[in-house]
Amino acid sequence: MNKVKSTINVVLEDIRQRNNYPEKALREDSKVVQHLGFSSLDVAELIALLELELGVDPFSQGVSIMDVHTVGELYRVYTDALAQTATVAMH
Amino acid sequence: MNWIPDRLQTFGDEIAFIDHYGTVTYRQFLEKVNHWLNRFRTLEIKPGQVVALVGDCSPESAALLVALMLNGNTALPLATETRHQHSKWLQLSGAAAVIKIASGGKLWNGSIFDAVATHALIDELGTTGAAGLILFTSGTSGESKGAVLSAPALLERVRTLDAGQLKPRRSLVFLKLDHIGGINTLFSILFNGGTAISIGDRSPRSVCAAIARHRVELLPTTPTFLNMLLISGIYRDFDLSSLRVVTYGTEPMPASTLAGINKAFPAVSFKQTYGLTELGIFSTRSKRSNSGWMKIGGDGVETRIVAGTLHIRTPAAMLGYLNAPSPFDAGGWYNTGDRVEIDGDYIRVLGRESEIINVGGEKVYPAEVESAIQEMDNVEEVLVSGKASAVTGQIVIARVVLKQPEDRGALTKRLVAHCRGRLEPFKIPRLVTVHSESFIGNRLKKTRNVIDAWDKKRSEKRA
Repeated sequence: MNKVKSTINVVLEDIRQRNNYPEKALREDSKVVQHLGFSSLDVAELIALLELELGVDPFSQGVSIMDVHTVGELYRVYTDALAQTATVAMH
Repeated sequence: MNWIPDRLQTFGDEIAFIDHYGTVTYRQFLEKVNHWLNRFRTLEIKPGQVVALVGDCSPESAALLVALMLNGNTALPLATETRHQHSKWLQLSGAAAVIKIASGGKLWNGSIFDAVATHALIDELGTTGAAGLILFTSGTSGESKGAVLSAPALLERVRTLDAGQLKPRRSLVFLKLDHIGGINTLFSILFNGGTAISIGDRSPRSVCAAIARHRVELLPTTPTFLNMLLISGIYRDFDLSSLRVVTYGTEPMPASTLAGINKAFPAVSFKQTYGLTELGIFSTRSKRSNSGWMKIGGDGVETRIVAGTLHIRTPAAMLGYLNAPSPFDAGGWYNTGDRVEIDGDYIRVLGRESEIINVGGEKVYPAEVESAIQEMDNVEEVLVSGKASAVTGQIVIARVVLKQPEDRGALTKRLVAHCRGRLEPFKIPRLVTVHSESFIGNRLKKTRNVIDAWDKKRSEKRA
């Protein structure tokens, strides 16, 4: 598993545990709100923690939060955002 | 201002100052004031000119300040910590001279500048012949602003005291003379016939040692310092039984600190002060020693609450800023920017309007969250603020300085568990970061704009 995916999984699990939400298998099609039971504040925390861990916040770079519902979509937007940052750094 | 030498003279051989270098009586202090008035003639310092004074609070710098007022000058007190700003501020003020007083006041040197154009506000003071004072704001919300105050208006509160009302206390001079709180402390001591005790450094140990040694009765300080005092536990090593009153101001008092300090000093009366560079210091009355509720008053002082924010109108208000538009409305009211709660005549400051965190439409005051976190073990300092969020507008972030190293994840778990039951869910920090550098600035209060610098540094590093 690559770094982005493992980091997202760790942070999701961290928030789940702290809130005592029931344990659920993480699949790419798992919906963060409906399936994992995250509140809007939990999602806000998830984004802030991922910014701290990965150094990017795709949602401040034009990605709409309304377009991201599943764990797989999270993997994708963070992978893309990191790739974009790397490209900018190379230039 | 003729009442000043008359008042000081009545205190004769009472001790006006105690510092590292010895004691100075009121008689000796007046001699120093007169020496300065003579030096002004030699230095060709004329009434109406702006004169900067660089130095800590000492008998010499206080005598210079009083002499400048008697000579009809506008004084610009500057602290050495802000030296990188001095040349800009001297220029803005149109200062005719700068006088530096070395530590202990034994040495001084002066520079006289060529004639410069003065600011319209200084000219306004000059036409009335009134002495003035320029204080630069700390610049927490941007550029420091130079507030021009009329000395007679500022001193009216102490001038009108009659002999029976004077409270000659032995008081520690805690805040510096470039701050309205420091000026107020100095004037309150001098014109009440009290004793000003100045100390070299403001660490809890030095302050406690000075209180014990000089039998200090009044300690004017900040909530941040009181918190440091509680955390250090150093107060237990000293006899502080002389202490009668502790006044605190300049930032919101966390409820946990107020409760802790009342428990540690049951015989001491704790009183909140309220003042702003732009408006001077007001008379206040705390509901109780352990209460954050207070009444703000004084001759001619009017208050009103507009949409939860405190507005004040006072005859002691500044004339205006040197480098910013007037903040007063047409009726002379000043919006303090402090959000308050009201209970009859009493008000309680919740925090600065500019510091309110908005989480999904709910308001969070950093002071309330900081108060809860400050109760935790291993927390030396905490600074709470908002962080932009695409989901909720903002989330609450807590930046913590620890006593002992602790893993961020473990700290987050502890912090969230501690805040549950104490705070509503939206107030509980969602992001916790650990910092090694203190948030406490040289005015012994939390420096909130340090956050902007860190965030900027982080984003620069990323780019």
